[in-house]
Amino acid sequence: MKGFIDDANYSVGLLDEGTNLGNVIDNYVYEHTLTGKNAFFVGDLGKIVKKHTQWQSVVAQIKPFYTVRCNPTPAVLEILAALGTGFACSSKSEMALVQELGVSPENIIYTSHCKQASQIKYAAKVGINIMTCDNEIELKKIARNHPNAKVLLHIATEENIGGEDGSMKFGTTLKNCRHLLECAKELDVQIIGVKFHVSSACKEDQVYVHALSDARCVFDMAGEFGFTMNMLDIGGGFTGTEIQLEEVNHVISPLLDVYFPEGSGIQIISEPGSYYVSSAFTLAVNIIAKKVVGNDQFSSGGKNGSGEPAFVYYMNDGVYGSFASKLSEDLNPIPEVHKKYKEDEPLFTSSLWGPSCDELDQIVESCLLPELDVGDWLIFDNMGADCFHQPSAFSDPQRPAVYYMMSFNDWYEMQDAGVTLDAVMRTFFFAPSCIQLSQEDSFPTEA
Amino acid sequence: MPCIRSHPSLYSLSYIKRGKTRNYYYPIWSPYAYYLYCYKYRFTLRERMLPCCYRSITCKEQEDLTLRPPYCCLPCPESLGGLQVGRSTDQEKDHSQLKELYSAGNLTVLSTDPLLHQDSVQLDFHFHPTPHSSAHWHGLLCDHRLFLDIPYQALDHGNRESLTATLEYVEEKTNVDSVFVNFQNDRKDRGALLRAFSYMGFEVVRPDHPALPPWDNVIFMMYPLERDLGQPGQ
Repeated sequence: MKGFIDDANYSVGLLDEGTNLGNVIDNYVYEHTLTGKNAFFVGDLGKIVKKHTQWQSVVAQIKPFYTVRCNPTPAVLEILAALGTGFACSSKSEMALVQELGVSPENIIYTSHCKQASQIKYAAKVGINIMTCDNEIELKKIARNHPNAKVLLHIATEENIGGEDGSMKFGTTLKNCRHLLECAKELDVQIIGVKFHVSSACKEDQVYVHALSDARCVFDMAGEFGFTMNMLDIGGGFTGTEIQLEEVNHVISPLLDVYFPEGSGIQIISEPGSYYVSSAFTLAVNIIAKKVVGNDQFSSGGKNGSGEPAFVYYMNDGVYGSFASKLSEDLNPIPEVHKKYKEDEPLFTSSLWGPSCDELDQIVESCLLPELDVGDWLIFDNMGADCFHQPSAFSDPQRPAVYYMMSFNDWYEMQDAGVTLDAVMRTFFFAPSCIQLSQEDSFPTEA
Repeated sequence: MPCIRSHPSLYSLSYIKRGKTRNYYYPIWSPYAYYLYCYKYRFTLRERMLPCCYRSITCKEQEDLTLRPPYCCLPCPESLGGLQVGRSTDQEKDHSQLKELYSAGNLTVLSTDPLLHQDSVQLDFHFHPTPHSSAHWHGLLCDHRLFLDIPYQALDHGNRESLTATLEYVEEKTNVDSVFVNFQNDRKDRGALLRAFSYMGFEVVRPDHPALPPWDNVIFMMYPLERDLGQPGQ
């Protein structure tokens, strides 16, 4: 199974000056209303290009290896490959997907936290040599299955997420590093660098400072064992804002100059994921059922008096589909109503649920929305990260369609920079929502 | 769809039975002479209407929430997942009939006699990073699927290595295609568990999937084993 087979022939709509994302969504809402009202995504590839430009302007010395698992849709991978980023894969299917695009194996790293022997063998077969590792069991597995492996030792950082004592720690402690280096020496596995990861929840300066000094310590230790270290991976956890990126750069730049200076031959890489894609995708879902409940059923307590009704809406996508990160509380979706409504329209306490009848399938616990009907559309922004899953026998068979678009300006800029995309680019036809047009009457945008 | 209870229960309580059993494969002075077990049971009092008359009786049901009954994975409608009425006294006998299947490094794998239960085999993974600490993953192997119960402190660092060792054994020595873990959905650390298992490569399974046993209030996560030679499950 190669991934999104049915999307292999996607096309990218090009928009000229007058059209924007809102018009694109209007158009697809109109189309979908005629054909079954399935949920759909719209991805603005121009935003991905802009994020890459931002990366190059702030932290040009750090090569990004995009975490494929975050959003493995074909257009995203193709555009990032065209822009020249590397890729961080965590499974055989991801490695195959990326290689099909023509990315060379030197630009792919294998970063699963629980590697299977068959995956390691596959990486060895196709020439993907750089991989991360943080425990002895996996080191032995790598030694058995990949003779040319180049291992990045994954060290733990001191982050303590939200005060949870028992959170599963990834990354080995500094104390254990020496033991792992000894093991690697015995097993004849090459250690070529260090990785650490600071999650977006705890991007504090101190965490980076300590992580970098720990990394330097491990580099020195490894030098004693005779390993040639030439790579440092600072992980991901970048949300996409320029401010955060600049802040991180501000903290790590001086330390990198001291510990890993430019001339020492050490390549600095990173594993951004949601940085590139989070803001580029918008999800449109449809309301399939509606219930009126008393206001006292809402635990947060409505601001309205007890006289006003509250609504419970069921949508055709939920936590077992695109809103999977809501289950692990990593997502805070904010719905927008698609249809136009008056400014003084009364708002009611509403909650949004997914299509399964499961008690966990809640998307929004309580929000204020005007009264909606079955068949109305809701729009969610910033749905690019961790919302797309590889199809498998156990996931939802009904995945939302994905449409891609890019404004002409972005496309020209991309071409000027020498980046070409093999995808089919077509001009975008749209029907304004206020006028019911048939396909022949729609306004074509000039190429 | 969630499980629909057939009869209302008067009350139910769950309890944990811990203890240690002698492991006869090791001599009495060995650190592995005993292994500790921790099994969870639920005890429910249910009211049942008697047919053809308007009286009801109260019956007591004991469910083993750790050891899964052998028919839990078959999709046939008569299978009642999680209910084993009145078999509690047999459990201890079954536990001591576990045989050691494999032992290397820090991992010992024990199993019930595969000839006894044709549809499913109990597989226990005992991981001893040090002689004084251990992590146990109790599992039920059914067809090409392994269902694992998570140990008491699933998120401790020691337990992650035990899971890695367990999955390594499963990949290399069995023909399992998918490994399932499950945990109660009202746990306070649900978010952390979901994130942690997700980093390990597990994905949440939608609750109404036919391959899942019909247990209430449980989240299942699945780890697919990508086998070579184009086997199904990739």
